[in-house]
Amino acid sequence: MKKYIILGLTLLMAFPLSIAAQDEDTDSEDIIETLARKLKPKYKQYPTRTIRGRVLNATTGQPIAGTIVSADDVEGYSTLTEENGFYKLDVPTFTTSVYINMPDFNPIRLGLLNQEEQREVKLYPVSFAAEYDKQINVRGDYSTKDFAYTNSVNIKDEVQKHLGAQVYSVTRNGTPGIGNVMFVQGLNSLNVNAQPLVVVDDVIIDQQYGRTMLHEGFFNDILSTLNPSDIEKVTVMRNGTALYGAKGANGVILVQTKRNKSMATRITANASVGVVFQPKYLSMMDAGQYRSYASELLKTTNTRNRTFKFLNEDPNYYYYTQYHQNTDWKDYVYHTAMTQNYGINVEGGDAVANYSLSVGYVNQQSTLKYNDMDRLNIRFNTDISLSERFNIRFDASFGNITRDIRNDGAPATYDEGTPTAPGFLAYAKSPFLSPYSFGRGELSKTHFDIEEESYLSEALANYKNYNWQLGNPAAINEYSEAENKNRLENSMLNLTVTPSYRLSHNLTISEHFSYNLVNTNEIFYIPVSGTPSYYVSSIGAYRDNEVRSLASKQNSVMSDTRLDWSNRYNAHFVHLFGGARINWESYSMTSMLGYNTGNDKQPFMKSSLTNTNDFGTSDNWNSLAWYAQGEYNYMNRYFLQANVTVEGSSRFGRDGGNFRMFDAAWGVFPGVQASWVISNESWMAKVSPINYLRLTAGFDVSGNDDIDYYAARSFFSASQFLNTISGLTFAGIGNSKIQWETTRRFNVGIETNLFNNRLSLSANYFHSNTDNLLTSQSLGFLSGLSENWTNDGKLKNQGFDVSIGLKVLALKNLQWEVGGSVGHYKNEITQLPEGQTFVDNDVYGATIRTQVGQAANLFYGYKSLGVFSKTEEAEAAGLYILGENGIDRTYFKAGDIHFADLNGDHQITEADRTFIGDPNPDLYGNIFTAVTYKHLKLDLRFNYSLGNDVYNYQRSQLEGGNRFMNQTTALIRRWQVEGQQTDIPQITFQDPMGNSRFSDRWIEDGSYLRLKSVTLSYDLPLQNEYLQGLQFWIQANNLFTLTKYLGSDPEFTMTSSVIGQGIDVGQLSQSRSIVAGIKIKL
Amino acid sequence: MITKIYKLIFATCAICGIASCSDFFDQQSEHVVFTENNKLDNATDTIYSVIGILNKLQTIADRTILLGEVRGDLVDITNTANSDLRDMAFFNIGDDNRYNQPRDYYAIINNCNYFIANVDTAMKNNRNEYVFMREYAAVKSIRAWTYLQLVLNYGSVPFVTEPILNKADAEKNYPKYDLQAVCEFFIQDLAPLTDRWGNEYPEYGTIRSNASRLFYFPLNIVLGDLNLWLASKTKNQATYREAAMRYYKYINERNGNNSSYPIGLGLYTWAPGSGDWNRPERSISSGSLTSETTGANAEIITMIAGDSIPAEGHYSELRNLFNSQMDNDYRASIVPSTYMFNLSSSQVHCCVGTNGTTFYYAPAELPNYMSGDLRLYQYYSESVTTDRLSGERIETSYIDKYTSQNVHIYRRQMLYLRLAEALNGAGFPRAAFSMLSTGLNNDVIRQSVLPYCSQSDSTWISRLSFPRERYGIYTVDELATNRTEDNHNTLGIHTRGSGWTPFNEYYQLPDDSLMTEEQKKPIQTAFVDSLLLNECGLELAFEGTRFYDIMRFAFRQSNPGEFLSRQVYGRRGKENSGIMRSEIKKDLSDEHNWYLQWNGQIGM
Repeated sequence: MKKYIILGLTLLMAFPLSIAAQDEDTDSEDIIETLARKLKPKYKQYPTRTIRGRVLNATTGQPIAGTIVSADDVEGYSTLTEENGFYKLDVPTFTTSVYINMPDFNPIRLGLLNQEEQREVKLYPVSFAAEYDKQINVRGDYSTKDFAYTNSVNIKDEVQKHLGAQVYSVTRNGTPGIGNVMFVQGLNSLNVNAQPLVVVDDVIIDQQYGRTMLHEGFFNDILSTLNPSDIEKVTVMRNGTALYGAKGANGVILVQTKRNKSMATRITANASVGVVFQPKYLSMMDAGQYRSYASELLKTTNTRNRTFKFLNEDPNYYYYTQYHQNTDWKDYVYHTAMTQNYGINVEGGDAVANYSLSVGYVNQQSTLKYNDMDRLNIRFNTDISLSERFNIRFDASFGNITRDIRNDGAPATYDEGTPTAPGFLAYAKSPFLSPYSFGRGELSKTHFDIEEESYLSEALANYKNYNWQLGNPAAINEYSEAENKNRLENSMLNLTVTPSYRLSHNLTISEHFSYNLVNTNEIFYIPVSGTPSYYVSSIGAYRDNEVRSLASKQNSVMSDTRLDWSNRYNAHFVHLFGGARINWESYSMTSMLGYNTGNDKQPFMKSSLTNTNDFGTSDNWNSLAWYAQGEYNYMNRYFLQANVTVEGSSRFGRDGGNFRMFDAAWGVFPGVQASWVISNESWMAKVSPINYLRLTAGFDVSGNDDIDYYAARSFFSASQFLNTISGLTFAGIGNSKIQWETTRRFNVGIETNLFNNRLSLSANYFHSNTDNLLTSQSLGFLSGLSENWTNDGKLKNQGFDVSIGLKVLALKNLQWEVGGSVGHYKNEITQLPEGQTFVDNDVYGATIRTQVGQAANLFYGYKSLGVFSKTEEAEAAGLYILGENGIDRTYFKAGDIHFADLNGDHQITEADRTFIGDPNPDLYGNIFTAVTYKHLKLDLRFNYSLGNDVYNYQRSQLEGGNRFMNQTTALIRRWQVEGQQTDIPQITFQDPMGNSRFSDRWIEDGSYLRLKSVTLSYDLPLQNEYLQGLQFWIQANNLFTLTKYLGSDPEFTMTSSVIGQGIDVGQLSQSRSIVAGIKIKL
Repeated sequence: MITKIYKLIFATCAICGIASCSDFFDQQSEHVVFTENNKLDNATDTIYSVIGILNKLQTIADRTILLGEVRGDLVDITNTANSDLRDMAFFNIGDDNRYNQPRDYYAIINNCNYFIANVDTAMKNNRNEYVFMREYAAVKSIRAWTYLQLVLNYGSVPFVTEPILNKADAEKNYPKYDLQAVCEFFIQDLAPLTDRWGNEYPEYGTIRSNASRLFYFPLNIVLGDLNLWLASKTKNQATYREAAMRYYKYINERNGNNSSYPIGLGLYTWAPGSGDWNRPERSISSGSLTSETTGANAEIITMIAGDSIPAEGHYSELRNLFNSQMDNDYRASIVPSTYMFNLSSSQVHCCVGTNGTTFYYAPAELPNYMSGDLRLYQYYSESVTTDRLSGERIETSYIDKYTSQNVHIYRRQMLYLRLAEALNGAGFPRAAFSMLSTGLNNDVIRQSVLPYCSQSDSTWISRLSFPRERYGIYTVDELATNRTEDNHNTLGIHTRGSGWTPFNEYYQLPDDSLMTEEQKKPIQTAFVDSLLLNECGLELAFEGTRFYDIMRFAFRQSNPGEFLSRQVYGRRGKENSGIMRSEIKKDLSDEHNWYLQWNGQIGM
């Protein structure tokens, strides 16, 4: 099927349809405006004054003719520059600035002097980043657009590249299209979702953040179903979020898809292919080193056997071949991956209808074999004018992702099964074994070894229910591979209809109706062949394999009815809009699991499997928000924007809220934002180094309504009695006062352009307080339940971001620009529920402590002071641990880790833990530079994060020295003899002393600086009737990363929740890639 | 213009306003049942709710046994025991101890309270039968039993009988009830139900090969227990009689009219006439103590079902604590105590000759706990195994009472022992003694009890009827010749392990002919009481009733604290009671220290 799609697309590109392609035009927004506004504007007449000035090309110093100069705030007052670059324009007397734009140049805003003669304006070509937007940026938003040169699957990747300081963004891992975790202005929640709201074309799209998936290490990012090349612009909205009421507290990501802007029919085809190189690997021990490790570890088991097949060094020994390979398991698991990305967009229209149709197809292989994805996108956006007053917008889009998928990352536990993530096994599996089967004294060349590991069978026979055998990752991959084994399919369908009726010149009523459907199907399969049978402690038995399935569906319906009114009263401009937004959401999921399919031929979930179980959820919720926003500006100098949202939700308790009405609870979310464009003051316009200066300040109240679906009401739920019949018992005591978390955020910002717009600078500071944190509270024991949800606890965030851009060289043929940004946030818990001073969470063996006065998610563990090199040292310290029975003392000996005994009682207990790391960065952001020579452009973008600590969980598994798994070469330094000075303790089976416990041994500095992308693009200068543009580009990603981090990649995250950031479980890391692309405009 | 806008805004608001009433925000769910929708007025909901209560009962199953056994004198813990269990054994139970979670009891109680408050008891089906009364009675009984467990362990408990549906109610100050108040309340609460619903249970058939009938707590037994505890506190003879009557009612009515539920002929003794002390011979099948059947002579009356694997949620750990198993690396946590061994070996085992007329005593100091009472030998064994590879020596220990995944609560011998205890307190030490020695039926009552009774006592005891046809007393001839007459089905409980007790000269009721019956009675009562406590130890050892048994016997003493502490401190033998006293962190002569406390919110 896919083949035909690719073929079709190729044909489309090879034989351009004979649609009369018209003039290639700019993306100038002015043209859109005139197109959209079918109702002839009745321009008011204002008293005017005359201004004159001149527009020059900044690179050549030559005048530019034909530049549009228009009054900034009033329509109907514009002119074009003449051949000599001069213009003369009558503008209303209250006009304080003009907006100057010209195709191929970045627009500029010029503050007016009181006199007629204005300052000279220099326009920079579009090879530089644009400084000015058509609208004054009252809220201090940051946006990014133009994703022409990229093969990103998920738009979040681009946001990280361009707005790295405005959003703290972390790529989850190296799997294609896996997405990012984003924190906007700090950590705004503790226990519930802290990720920003995503709004696509004014439709709130639930991101399913907390939903269960089957494969370890995988997250289903809903935004990956959206094709970045369909996106016009992404805006990070940090202020003014009160407009989104109880959903806005985590910030808002506004995504705007492409619409047609001109009457010309344009066809754009994109194609790119790329190569992704294998990631950086950890340095693991080779066969000989592991053999020696294993034989040493055996001495700490209870075995009395001293002869083992795998230790027999006689080459004539029958089993010698079987146990004397030197396999690099990574060869069987990773490969160099290919990526392809095709797209075609057709847009056009006339006075009645405009459309933009795009089709895209992406295939990205993962460097981890069998983790490839395919995506097909179709989007059809239309704007139809049925009459002068009546317009309809109709959009339809569909995106479908299919993935081959495997577990990824180190397992959290070995008690519930055996590791099956091929990437992890490639590190951990013994290198002296072969992936191929051994028989009759020789290794097969074709048949994978599917026998269970047996080299330790005699030694570990006495360890019951201990999963020590590791699967063969090559065989696991092979036997896991089928359409019905390990797959994920995710699709999103969106239909939007937006009729709007212009009641008068000033007043419009519109209804925005959207239907969104997200479907997810996932199948998970552990094959019989290739995995050993494994003990499952929750079952208390050994099982051969496992199959799971999951199907979920989310239906979302939104209706947004809005009245919009605006008018100008001379120097006063007023814009008001308000309406009601209703969201109906319904999510249902069913999931099943079962063990022992018997063979790999019938990998189906069926009731005859062993220990079958099923579970599911069905959550329905809805919300209604009344919102209103008023904007006022006086002379384009003083801007005031105020909004308020009143929101009710089925997730709120009936008795809570700011007020009660219609028998329901309502929250009120006001916000106000003021800006002062100082450069539009005539006295400031005189100050020649300053071209633009804006000060902004604001205050918002917004909420986080990620309340548990059942928190507000008391309910019974069914549980299985004797795994046979359902029993209904009290499962929740509702908190009828439960409500949203409230974030009150103050912001202040400055934006300025200096020295003929050569230098642009913006800085923002925010301070926010979040209270009513959603948290569990203990319930009186008489209820029989231990907790329910409540609003208790507070936290605060403050931080800043600064962006700077400098046009270093602006010559005719050579332009060079550098820039950078830096962001910072500081999170602090100010109050915890029920007067607690701290709360601990256990994640991957780590204790994450949330303590008043500290950031929300600090690592709390033991401090290590090195390894006891001599017995006397250990005896002098006299440290011990207490047995589970509360009596036996076991003393730390030479070769053990010297844990700091913080309370001085010689017993190493939880009381000796302390804060050992902070996953929150001190600073993060981007650095970029771009050099343009004629039609050739080289663009470099770095991103960085400084001062964030990492808990390297994967390393704790691969350097723990307590299991029969291959270890990193660090273990060669392990303590072996009395007196040896080293930082790696002795190896001990099952680690009775807890040398590998969660301690600062596994905490590392995760700071890094990464060359995220280098793009070289070439715009072929063309004067062709049929071919309007031809661009070639080549991009290298992740070329290098400067870091001291010992893992393979310092950028990763295993969760989108606040608790658990900075834990590296060893999922596939990002790696270098090179992409080459072509863009054809017809 | 402005007016127009207002009109429009108003119109829009009005349209949307319709949607903004509370219905819009009332979501239904397929996943849970909101309280207001769980009306308990149809059969399905009601059954689900009863099953839900049984589900909650599973949570307290293990601790019911452990709190009753580990704090007593019959077991000791090994170094393998986890610290929670260790703390329990030494009366040092903290708020975080996994066995000290009163919330779990209230989870049962709250679900029961909701059921009792809401179930439509008046509802009848088209055959004019009450639809939910069986469930109602069963749930009331579960609630009473749960409260009894709670108050026995905590001494004084917040008492609430209305469902708690919100946080405020959960944190109210409810009156604290002590044992006496709890017993009095539930005696009142349950008594009206027994006549009609005493022997009816919800019929849910077999659930995962367990007969669901075994999941319920018979009203008469629970009432018997409540009365017995109350009587032990108040020393009121009428209450003892009520207790005895309740146990008797269960025995007499369990299998329907004109049927029996006899003590059975299970016994273990040396082969008649034999002098071979190597291996005792089971002369009559002992009848399994652990067989979970529901027949007329089934041993198990009530059990709390357990899941078969931990993942299913309610997996009983008792097997792994009381036995050496693969799952615990052959290291048991709980083993018989020195006191237990001493108690068993100090019994005098009366052997019978093959002619049935001669008798002799088994020697003391036989190996493998074969001295004295043979019940310990029967269900306890120990051994030593050597780890095949490491060579480490492992002492294994097996208590055969723990083989099931289910937790046993009531069984037949327990019922008879409690009946004996109630009869003894009710002023019939001879009847009680007969139950230990010969077994009880109407012939025995006529010969051994009635001649010593006052008129009123005779009238009362005659209400207990054990007719010969249904309760035939096993004879020594039968034992000697190893044959059984058809209707012989009753013997003395002590005979079950200590040989032919009626002939045992060391096991006789003090009967000083110089005293009047009235003078003898308190002496005999006290004597039988102590025999009963020992018999409870021999028969019910390790089954989780010991600490409560000691408590109940202690209440009857003039100095309960002294009695209980002596008993518990004697766990490792009398000679070690000083050490025990110092190891146990609490002074058990103070009754307050018998009980658990939790976060200062419950307990004495």
